Amino acid sequence: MTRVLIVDDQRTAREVMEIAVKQSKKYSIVKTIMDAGNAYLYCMNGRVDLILMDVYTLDGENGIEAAAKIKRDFPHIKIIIVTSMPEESFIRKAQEAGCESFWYKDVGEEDLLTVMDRTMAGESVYPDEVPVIKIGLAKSTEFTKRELDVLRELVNGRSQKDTADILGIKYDSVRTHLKSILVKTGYDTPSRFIAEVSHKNYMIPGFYKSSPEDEDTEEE
Amino acid sequence: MISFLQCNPITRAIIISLLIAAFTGLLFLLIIRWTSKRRPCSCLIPALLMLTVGIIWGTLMDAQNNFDLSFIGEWLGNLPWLVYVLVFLVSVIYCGFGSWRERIIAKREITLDSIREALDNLPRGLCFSDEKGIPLLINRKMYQLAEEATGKLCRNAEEMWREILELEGQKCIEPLYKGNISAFRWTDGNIWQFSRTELTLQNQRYIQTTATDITRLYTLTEELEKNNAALDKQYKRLKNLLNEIVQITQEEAILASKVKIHKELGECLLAARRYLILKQPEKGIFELFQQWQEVIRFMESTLKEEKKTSDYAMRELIEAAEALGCTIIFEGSTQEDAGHYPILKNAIREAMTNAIRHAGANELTVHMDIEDNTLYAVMKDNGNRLITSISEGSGLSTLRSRIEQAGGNMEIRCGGGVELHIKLPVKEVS
Repeated sequence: MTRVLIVDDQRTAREVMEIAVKQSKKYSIVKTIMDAGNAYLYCMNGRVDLILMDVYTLDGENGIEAAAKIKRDFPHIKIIIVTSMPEESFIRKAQEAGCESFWYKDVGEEDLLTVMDRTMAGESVYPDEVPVIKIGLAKSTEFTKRELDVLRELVNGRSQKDTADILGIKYDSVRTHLKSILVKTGYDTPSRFIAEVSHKNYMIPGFYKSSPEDEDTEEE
Repeated sequence: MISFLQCNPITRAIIISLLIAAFTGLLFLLIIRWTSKRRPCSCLIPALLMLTVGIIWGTLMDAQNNFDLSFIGEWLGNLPWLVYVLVFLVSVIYCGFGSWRERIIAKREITLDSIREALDNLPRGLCFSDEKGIPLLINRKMYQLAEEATGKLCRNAEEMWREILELEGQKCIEPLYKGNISAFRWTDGNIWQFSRTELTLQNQRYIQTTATDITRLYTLTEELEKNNAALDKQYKRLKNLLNEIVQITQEEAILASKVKIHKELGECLLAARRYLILKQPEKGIFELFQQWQEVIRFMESTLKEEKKTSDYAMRELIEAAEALGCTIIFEGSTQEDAGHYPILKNAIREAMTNAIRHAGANELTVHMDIEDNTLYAVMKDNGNRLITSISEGSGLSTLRSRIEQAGGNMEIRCGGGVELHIKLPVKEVS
């Protein structure tokens, strides 16, 4: 019997997961909690084999960071990141943290139990891509890597000039990228576009930085 | 060649004058060397030379006046006149070379004048005085600053210091206080900071007063403060935005679950109708019953009002601790508010993890008090292992930076057990 810890602060999501896990005879629920920080404590007990971890949990505790800590100290525990936010950096961050699998709550093609089974069988199950969402006239897949970098800094509240400094590119290039984004999406001002991006949870302000190089400067 | 005594009187007079000139030159060099008090032996050669020239001069005077001619006088008088011209030339060259060397040495040496000149060229103001304030050495800049600030020449360093510090009513300079910098803005816009230090030299106390131009430092500090304020504002805006986003996502999820209930309830009703009225059972009675149960349970849980999350967060932590066999005991005047401080929750979690892991504790006492808008919390465990020092791992240092960012501070005290002391401004976190 695989012992499962569920971490999610949305009650409905929690219950959907609980029902799914209870349907199977292979799994039993150790505990359902809302705060990702507490997951570590249950792992210290040594009674957890698999964690279903939400990304943004109670009090803004970051599930991926908590997962990274657990993976460091208890590498045998398998972790599946579950989220409903199509934020573009989550998959990469989850992979960096060493999480086995990743599942989108709303749009997952496979159901949760299949992902859990495959994970426990030693597979690593990741969605091929972030769910495509529509921003203005464009699909989220139409943006280039550099445009996404620029976008992330702007969503994080930087000015165009600061963005140029942070990314180490010219101010004119930032403007060019921004113009190209606006042309693709059909918005007339950057601010309306940025509001749309954060509203659709494509990028969450302040949750993650753009480039992994400046990881050492804590932003929060 | 004709000897000295055979020359005509005019030539003789010229030779004698040349010798007098050589004598004077040597005397001059001797005086320079003597006064510089450097090497007594360096005076020896000019002195001997001068003596020789003097004797020659005296003897020749005697000889040409046909006074009592000694054998030296006779011998010197009969030497060719060119010899004396050579004596003159040698003396002049020696004097010239000697005084040129003196000048070069003097230039290289540190004298009182050179110290004063160097101090005068310093861009900062400097004044050395004795204990009573009598100035011993003041540089040009300090004179200038003191005059501009007090309107008079600096006669006493103590007085100057007092007048500059108490100069709040003065027109020409304006006192500035920023952080721990106390400085004055001069009329020309530059900013000067005054400081004093005590020096002891050969059991004698001296006071050094320094005036430093901190215009650039000051403007940079101002800029930094402005930037920090802007960043702070930005951070707060971000935080609000983030909260809103989370709320929107949650609302969307709730809506989705409502849609789901609607759909499932509809399905159940349809199945029940088929079973009961149309008698076309799709599922067995037991299956139908189970489906109803599931829908009702899901509905119930959705309709239930969720508890306040802040209380829940702390309760969940206490529960998690108990699962590990550790009890958290709250003490102090504001223990029921513990859930309002997410940072405190993090601190308790960190303290507890460490206590269980390193000290084998099974009890953690959290003492909380609020005074003057500050939350004081002390976490102490009942661990039985002696811990005298602690190295701050990633958990504790992350906690420390979070607390410091919120404007509080954290202290770890080791002495037998480990105590974690935390101070947090209340308005920031509530």
